[in-house]
Amino acid sequence: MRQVSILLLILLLFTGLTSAADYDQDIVLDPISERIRQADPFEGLVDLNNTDFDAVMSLPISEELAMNIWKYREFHSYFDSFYDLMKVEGMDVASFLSLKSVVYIKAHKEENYTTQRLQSLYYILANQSDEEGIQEGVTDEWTDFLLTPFNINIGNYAMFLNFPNVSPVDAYSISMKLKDTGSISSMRSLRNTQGLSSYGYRNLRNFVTYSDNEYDERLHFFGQVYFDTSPYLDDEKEMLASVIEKYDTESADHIQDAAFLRNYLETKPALMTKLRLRKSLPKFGKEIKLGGLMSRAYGDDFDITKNSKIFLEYRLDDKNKIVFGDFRLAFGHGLIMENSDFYSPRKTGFGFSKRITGLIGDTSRTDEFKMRGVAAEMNLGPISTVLFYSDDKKDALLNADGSVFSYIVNKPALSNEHLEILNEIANEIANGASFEDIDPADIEEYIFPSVDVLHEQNVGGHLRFNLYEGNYVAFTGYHAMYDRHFERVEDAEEFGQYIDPEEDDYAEKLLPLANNEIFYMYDSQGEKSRTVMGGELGLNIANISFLGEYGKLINGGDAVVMSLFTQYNSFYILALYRDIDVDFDNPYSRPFAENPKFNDTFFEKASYKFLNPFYGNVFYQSPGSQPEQGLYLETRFQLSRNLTISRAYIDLWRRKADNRPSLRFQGDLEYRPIFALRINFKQKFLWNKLDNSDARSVSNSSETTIRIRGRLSQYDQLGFEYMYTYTNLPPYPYLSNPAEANIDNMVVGSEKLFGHLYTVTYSRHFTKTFDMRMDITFWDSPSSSMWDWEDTNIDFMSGRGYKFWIVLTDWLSPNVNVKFKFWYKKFAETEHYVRAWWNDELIADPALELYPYLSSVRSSETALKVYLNILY
Amino acid sequence: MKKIIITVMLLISMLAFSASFIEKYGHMNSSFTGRALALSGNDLFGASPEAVLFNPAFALPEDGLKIIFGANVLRLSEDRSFPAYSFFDNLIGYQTYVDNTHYNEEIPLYAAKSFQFGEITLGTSLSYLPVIEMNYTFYEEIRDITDPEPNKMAVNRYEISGALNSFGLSLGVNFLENFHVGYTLGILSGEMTTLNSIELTPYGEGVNPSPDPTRSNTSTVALSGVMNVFGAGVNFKRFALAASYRTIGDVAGKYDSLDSTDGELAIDDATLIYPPTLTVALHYRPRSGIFSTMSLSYKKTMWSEFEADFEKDAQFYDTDEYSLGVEHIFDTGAIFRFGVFYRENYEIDNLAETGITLGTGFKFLERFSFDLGMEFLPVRYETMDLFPESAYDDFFDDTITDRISPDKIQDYRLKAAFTLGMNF
Repeated sequence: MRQVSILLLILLLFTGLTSAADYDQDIVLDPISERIRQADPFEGLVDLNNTDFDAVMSLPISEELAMNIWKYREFHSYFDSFYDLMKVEGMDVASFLSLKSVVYIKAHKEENYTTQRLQSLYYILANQSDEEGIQEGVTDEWTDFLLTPFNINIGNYAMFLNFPNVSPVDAYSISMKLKDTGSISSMRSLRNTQGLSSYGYRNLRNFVTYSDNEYDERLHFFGQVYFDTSPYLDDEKEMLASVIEKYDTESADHIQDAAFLRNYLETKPALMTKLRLRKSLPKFGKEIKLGGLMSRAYGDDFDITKNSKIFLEYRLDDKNKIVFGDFRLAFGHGLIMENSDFYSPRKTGFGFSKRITGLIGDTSRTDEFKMRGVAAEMNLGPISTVLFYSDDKKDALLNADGSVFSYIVNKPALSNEHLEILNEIANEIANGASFEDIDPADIEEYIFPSVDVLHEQNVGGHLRFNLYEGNYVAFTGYHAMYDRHFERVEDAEEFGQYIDPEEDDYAEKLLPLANNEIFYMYDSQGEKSRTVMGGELGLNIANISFLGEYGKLINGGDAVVMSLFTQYNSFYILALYRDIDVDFDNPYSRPFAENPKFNDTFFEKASYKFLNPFYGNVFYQSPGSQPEQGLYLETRFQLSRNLTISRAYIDLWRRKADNRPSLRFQGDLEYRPIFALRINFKQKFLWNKLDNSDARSVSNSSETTIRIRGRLSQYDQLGFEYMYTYTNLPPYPYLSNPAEANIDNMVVGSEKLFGHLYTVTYSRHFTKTFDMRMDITFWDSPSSSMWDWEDTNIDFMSGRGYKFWIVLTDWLSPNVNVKFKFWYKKFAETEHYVRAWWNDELIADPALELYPYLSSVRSSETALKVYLNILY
Repeated sequence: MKKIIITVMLLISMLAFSASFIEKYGHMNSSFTGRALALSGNDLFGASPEAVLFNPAFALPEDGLKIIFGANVLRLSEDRSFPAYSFFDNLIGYQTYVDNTHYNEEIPLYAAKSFQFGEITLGTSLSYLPVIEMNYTFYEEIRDITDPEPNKMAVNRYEISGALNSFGLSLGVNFLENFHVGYTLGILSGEMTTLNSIELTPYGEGVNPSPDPTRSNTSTVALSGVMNVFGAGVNFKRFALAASYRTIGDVAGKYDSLDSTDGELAIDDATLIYPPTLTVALHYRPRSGIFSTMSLSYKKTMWSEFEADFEKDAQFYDTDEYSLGVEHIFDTGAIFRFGVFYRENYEIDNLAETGITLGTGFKFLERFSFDLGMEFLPVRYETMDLFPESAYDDFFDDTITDRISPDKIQDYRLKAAFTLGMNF
């Protein structure tokens, strides 16, 4: 047995040696294997992705084919593999095989770090560019961090919190890890942070790096051109039309002026040009930024620009900076200061409705509430502070004595010259005289110049004591000085002076809409200033986060907003309480609210009854929040792998002006049986209870949506959506008369309104960088109106109709992105159907040559949006 | 004395018929082929009919003889309307009272060939192109809008027809590898005819009896002249930049007019000066994963320099036109082109048109290519009626003519171009 074992061992050894010998022999015989053993196995071969023009043209193929290879590499793409050569025009099998022994493909890597990031993040960057409407100006900062990520190890709680979809618990978890371990060295290390949600991690990872090594010191450039012909909603149009319609029936001059103004409304597209430059300054601090913007809203009465911005920002390091020019500020819940022209309902500051707190240079389209001057943000140990000074002229509605009634966001904005023309017309209407008969000496002022008529100087600051990571106390305040004082109306009787006397009898019924929200607007008591101050408290313990903010208007009311947030792996809960006094009239306040300021007041419901219809602007473009007291609860809960409550909230609040209680609920349940198929069921409810001396009633509305989206392939996605809306309205006191016997007056009872909406969506990714999405929607809502979330806009629909839109998103190169949206809507107003119902003769009948007055009233609208982004 | 009479009569005639609608003196074409139309006129950096008119410096075919001919159809439809009010006197929309639809056809022709002289390449091309198109007929109804169900009082007609065509010779030179200069000489010819009439309806006659319920005016201008286009540019691997300046100048020959009220009028040597155009264009060829090009162009036409001695009070506005075109050629050989343009109107201040273009194309039998392009231009605006109120002085008294308000006009312009290209 032992001999057999020795024999087997010798046999095995011999076999192994023989194999080894064979192996050595193979190396000698095969020249390719020989090259593998050498330092450069591709010596003598042409590196097709990195070689020069002459080397490509010298390949053993036809000159035409070599040129095509060169063109492919320069104007199509680098070669990912040798087999990509088959895609070259004119390539045949013989040429392909002949190239096999003379060329090789080495993956091309962009030398420039920023270009690498552009290529890898193009999808996120494309989405960023058109979210301006929601996160006005904020995305610019995020774009900067996408291209030049910041070192997570030098960040702090406040900085982490400013990134999209990063919750306070996420920010606290990261800052605690840094405190405990000293550093986060890799993406894996970040991922393993205890308490950090996977959602927060996925959103943050694109903005951070883990050392300073990769910082790109070149000059960065971001240019954007935005062009939009989207028409205004009916309300804004009607506001101007109510003046113009009244005055275009008189002299030819008026007619031309009316046509001129209407052409502005109909044809002047919104236009925005933005330019931002960044350059690192390793010897003199960290970075310098220069930004500028010119923009004009749709229909603005200005040739090139109504709004211009410029800022210069110098960053000494990641925590200390100074901004000259235009800047944006936001603190806490936005109760004391958030200078934006844009209202966003239910802006919690969490998730998608993020609020960047602190100081940033401003290239947003905010015009009215822009800050222009100088501001600095400084951090010294546990103390951080922001100090600012601003000097700017604001648009405002003036009273007859020259005092200020209100700030206005003036869109569409008419120049003061045209407002003066309109003033003469308003006189004509008010006095019942024809235009020619008016003696200029008799003109009472109704429509005043409103562009840049209020000079505001604003000085303020924010002082924060960081007690422990994520736990702080802060004080915020500002003092605004004006060249005019603010004066309000005290009661409904006084409010009547603003209303067209011709509308008086009807307006009387509307006066209850002029409520305390109007009567408690800011009155400076003859002083030319306003002061707001307050403080905030931030607490974080484990996975629970609290943020409370209190604000007080001197000689006015006060307000408080508090939020409590907790998160686990599969769900989060947010509770937010707000109590904002009706006399807390702070123009820079943007806290959470269900409705914009002056919603349901005379400014909204009856702007066409004002002598000066521009009073409608007090509501239409108002970015302020309505004074409310209420509790809002929101959650997202992944019940299982297939079933998720993607967002659910309930809000119970009362409007402070009249104590009207309301309740809103929304739930969105998503079922995903397989990866390629998603089914959503969404339900909304809204109850409003009206309880005053004129009426006691409840209005309610609901909206039910079923949405199915399926991936047909990795390139195509198809979706269907059905929405049903139902609204029950009580009798409106201002539209109806008491039901009395033998009185021939109109009486309106409660109304039940409903609507249906059907949508089909299709999207296709033609290539990695070029995709298309289209959508067609039909609706039938003759007695109601509907809102539709469309791409990145919200659309308002009534009557019956259909609409179609298509979006092309195209990265022409890593540096150039074009987005292109075409939109078409055709609809018939409800009025037509109502009239047709009342009188059959209103229906056109070509056979009888019957074309009655309203038979051909139809509306169609088209819009085109173009974004051109250049990033370098 | 005769000149004074003629001038006075001209002024009276033109005051009566000074219309205010889109492009009374024609539409300046900027796209002739399916490819250029799909790129919103941005086919300027190669041998193309558009390069003849806006960038001759780059009109060099890559090799061989290039021939292009096409068939273009333009459909322009507009509806004219006035406001309709609800029970509560709110504006609810606009009632269409007339639809005007016109069709217009073009047959552009183009041939080009390059010659090599050492380091210098010379491109030559011959073309026959409709530089300015005029083929519109507008109808308008005049109604008494003081009546809740407005009655038709008169029917107006404004018609313009003809074209200014160019037979052109272009030269483009490429030297020192990256530099280009070019020149186009265009021999222009054509005719412009206008016909205007106002016809009272039985209702209109009933309101204000008139001895002659119809008034009309026809006029014809013979057109001939010379067009010059100068261009220069640079061409780098990814970018090319070019600028050109085009002059058309005085093209009017004999002017004839016959008016039912004012009689016959003729001017042997009339003046009609079309404005010059400045073009700046940028071309970008990225490496984007598919073969792609992007072109931007800006055209400024100095319409304020327009002159016509038979319409002394004509006042037009300088126009800016911006356009962007993108072309993708996929690995499968499929071509997709799209574009967008913004173009100001020369007749109505502050009126701009914004449209989109789409198109595709393919090659066949090695030497042939077929391109299809579509342009869609919706525009909505308000303007005065076709004829001023003074045009009705013979018919209506002042109280009736005060009723005229601006019309709301909704235009849809749809243009399609089918082009066959050949390389030999």
